[in-house]
Order: sequence, then structure tokens, then C-alpha cells
Amino acid sequence: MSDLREQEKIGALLEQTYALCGARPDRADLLAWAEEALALARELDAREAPARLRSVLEEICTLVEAHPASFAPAADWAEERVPLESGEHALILLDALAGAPERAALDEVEAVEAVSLDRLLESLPEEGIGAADEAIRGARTWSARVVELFRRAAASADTVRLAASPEDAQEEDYVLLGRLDEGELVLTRGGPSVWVDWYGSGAPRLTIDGEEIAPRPLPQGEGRRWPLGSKQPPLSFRLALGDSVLTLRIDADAD
Amino acid sequence: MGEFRSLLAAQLDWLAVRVRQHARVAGLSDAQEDLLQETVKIALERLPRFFVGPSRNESARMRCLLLQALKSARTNLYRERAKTPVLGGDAPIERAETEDPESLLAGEQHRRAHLAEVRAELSPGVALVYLCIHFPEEVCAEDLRRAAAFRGGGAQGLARPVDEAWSLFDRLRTERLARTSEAEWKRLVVEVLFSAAPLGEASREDLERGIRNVDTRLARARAKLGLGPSSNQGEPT
Repeated sequence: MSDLREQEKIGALLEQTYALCGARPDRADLLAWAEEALALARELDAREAPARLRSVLEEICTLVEAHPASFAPAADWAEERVPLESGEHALILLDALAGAPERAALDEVEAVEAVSLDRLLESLPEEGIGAADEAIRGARTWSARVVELFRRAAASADTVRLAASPEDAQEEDYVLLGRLDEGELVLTRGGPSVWVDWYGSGAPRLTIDGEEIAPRPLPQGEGRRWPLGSKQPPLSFRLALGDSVLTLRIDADAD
Repeated sequence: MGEFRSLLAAQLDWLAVRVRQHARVAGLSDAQEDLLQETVKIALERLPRFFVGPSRNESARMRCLLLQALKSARTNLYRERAKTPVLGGDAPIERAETEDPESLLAGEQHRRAHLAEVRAELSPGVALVYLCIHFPEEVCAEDLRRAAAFRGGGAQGLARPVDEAWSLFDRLRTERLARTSEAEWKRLVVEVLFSAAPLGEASREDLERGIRNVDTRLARARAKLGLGPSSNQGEPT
């Protein structure tokens, strides 16, 4: 399997893992997820995997550790497979699953004295808390802002056609789509036009719904720009840079 | 209520329990408050990057962030206490080539950090086997108690009552460890942990199954600790 294909699969697996956290999944569904996770871990063990892939598997294992009650029903399954595995990543995954019942029991049984939230927060910098609040709001409104950006582009196109308000046609807004390595992928609107901009080094390639889009240079600074033309959501983006890949889906409607 | 405050408040009881668990098994019980504070500080710093992109299971995302921050906070506290950089639990402990006082002290700090990492990161049964094989002099009754109490996920606990197993292990460690080969020591550990028979009377099947069990747990431990595969299952020092 190619690195990029692997990254897409592991990205989908990460999404599935998030969906399982805090839930009480059906055991059959959980084991299907576990089989898939183990298969990917084995792929990583079969050769020297890129750091980004390893970090995603680490995130999956951390989610299992953080939500043991959701994954505990797969513990027996994991214990049975431990003696059959020798790869590092496979063993780390199986170990996280096998230890889930104990962690779940400890989480349930242990009680601690109430911790003062006010006291905990008072030593933290206000600007840090402000940045965190903004990031959380950003994540919550991400889908709505993306949909709104496309709506404004469409409205602006109508405005341009009517020539009623050329100033509005020059309005710009943007939404951060994601980060890859040290670069940022941004959805940008300028009047009726929508682009995907890459602010960073390297020569990433963008594919939308399976079609590779020809890049242009950014108007300013280092990076690339891909015009979306008449493309409208739903859209599936895939940005590939070296052995890293970022995949995103933009739905037609906000959540 | 602010967004960060609200998400943290929802996870605070859970986090406090995890902090106490990590502090206890890592020998930082006297620093629980510091560990909690450091964890939240690190989580706050990392959150803007961690929360980029579309919203997905917000509470799971927050827990994941807090747990990763807790592990980093624990490492930071060790470093602060040791006042010298430690290699962290990821690195195998190597004996200093020249055993001057500084290198001995640094080696001891690394060893302490590694032992704390083992108890914090590995499940009790896996940690017990790892300690019994690689750090037998560091095993304490509490290690056996934790392993015996954990029977989830197909783990077997201990074959003997904890007090009996501890007494037997302590005696073997005192009387036999120094003059026993690695292979023989492993067999003795198997007898203590995985057989209820009197010493020397375990069946061949029990011994073989026990040795496979020990090897499997050692492989799990090495993977989890990032130590890589071992050509033999002996002492990593």
C-alpha cells in the first residue's frame, strides 16, 4: 500500500475512533474497527513508516486510553492476539485495548476531592485562554463558516452580474482548512471567486473529488493557489506534500 | 463560561483521577497539584493547534489532548526534580562508560525516571513481568498487588495469593538472583507468578506456557516503552 493511500485509510480510521469515544458501540462494530486498526498497525510495522502516520496511530491509542469504557469489550480480542504479534505498533495498539478494562474500572471506582477550577485557571495567561476559546469556537463553527463562504461567493457573483455593488465583489474572507507539516491550507474568497491557498514551503498537490487541480503561485509570498472555479460543496480535498497527506470533506450543509 | 473553561470543567473529575493514578504509580504523589497544573498549562498551549479543522467529538478531543499533556507534564516534573535532562522513558538505560560520581548520579536519575514510566505506562501485569525480569531488585509488594487485582481483558492476575507470591519472590531475589543465569531467573519468575505449585514442582506445560506469557509481556512492554525489539529478553542495562 502506498504511503498516501495508507494515510487516507488511517485518517478515516481516526475519524471512526473519535466516533467510538464515549459511546457504547456494538461489539461487532468495535471488533471490525479493531481489525482494521490492527491491519494498519501491521502495515506500519512492515516497513519504516513516516512520522505523521505513527503520530496518528499514537493519537488513536491515546483515545483508547482516554475512553477505556468504550473500548473495553475488545480487550479479550486483543489479549488473544498479543502472543501472535511481534511488531511494535501492533503491540502498542493491542496493549492499549487489553488494558482498557483496568483503566475503565479505575476511572469508575476512584473518587478524588473536588478540584477548584477557578484556582486551576487563575495562574494561566489570559491571552492563552483567549486563543484556546477562539480555537474551540473556530472548530465548532468551521462547517458553517465554510458553507457561508461559498454562499457569499455565489451572492457576490449575482451582485457582479447586476453591477449593483462592485465594492462588495472585492470583499475577501477565508477559513483555515487545516495544517500540514509547517504549512496552512486556507479556503479563500475574493468576491465571487473561491480558491484554496497553501501558505508554506514545498510543492503540494491538491486533488478535489479525485481530480488533480493545476496550481498557480500565490499572489504574495511563498505558496500555491488553486482556483475552484464553479466547484461547489460537497467536495473532498486531498492535499499531498512529500509523504504527508491531509484529507478533508466539505459538506453541502453545515452540521 | 468560556469555551476552554467549559470543556475543561466537563473533564476535570476524570482528569483529577488520571493525575492521581499517574502521580501514585510514578512516585509523584506529593506533586499531584503541580502535575495537574502543569497538565492544564500544556494543554492550553497545545489546544489551538490541536483543534484546527472541523469539529468532531469535542469531549474526546479534549480528553486526548489532556492525556497527552499529562504525559508531557509528568516528564517535565521529573526533569525539574532531577535538575538534569533525562532521556525519558523512551530511551533504553545504558551504563555509563566511566562510572564517575556525575555519571552514576545521572544514571540513577534515568533509572528512576524509567521505572516510573514503566509503572505509569504499562498495565500492571505487563509492568510486573518487566520489572521482575529487568529490575528484580525494584519490585515491591504493591507491584504484585496491582497485577493480582487486575483481571480484565483476559489477564490472569497471579497464580498464588499475593502474600505468598511476594514472600517467595523476595526470598528468591535475596538468595538466588546473584548466582542465577538469565534463563534460570526467568524460569523462577514464571514459577512465582504463573504456577501455584511448590517451587521446583511446576509442570512442564505450566512452565512452557508461563515462559511464552513472559516473552509476550516483555515484547508488549518494549513496544509500549519504545525500546524496540530485543534479541534476547534479558536485562536492557
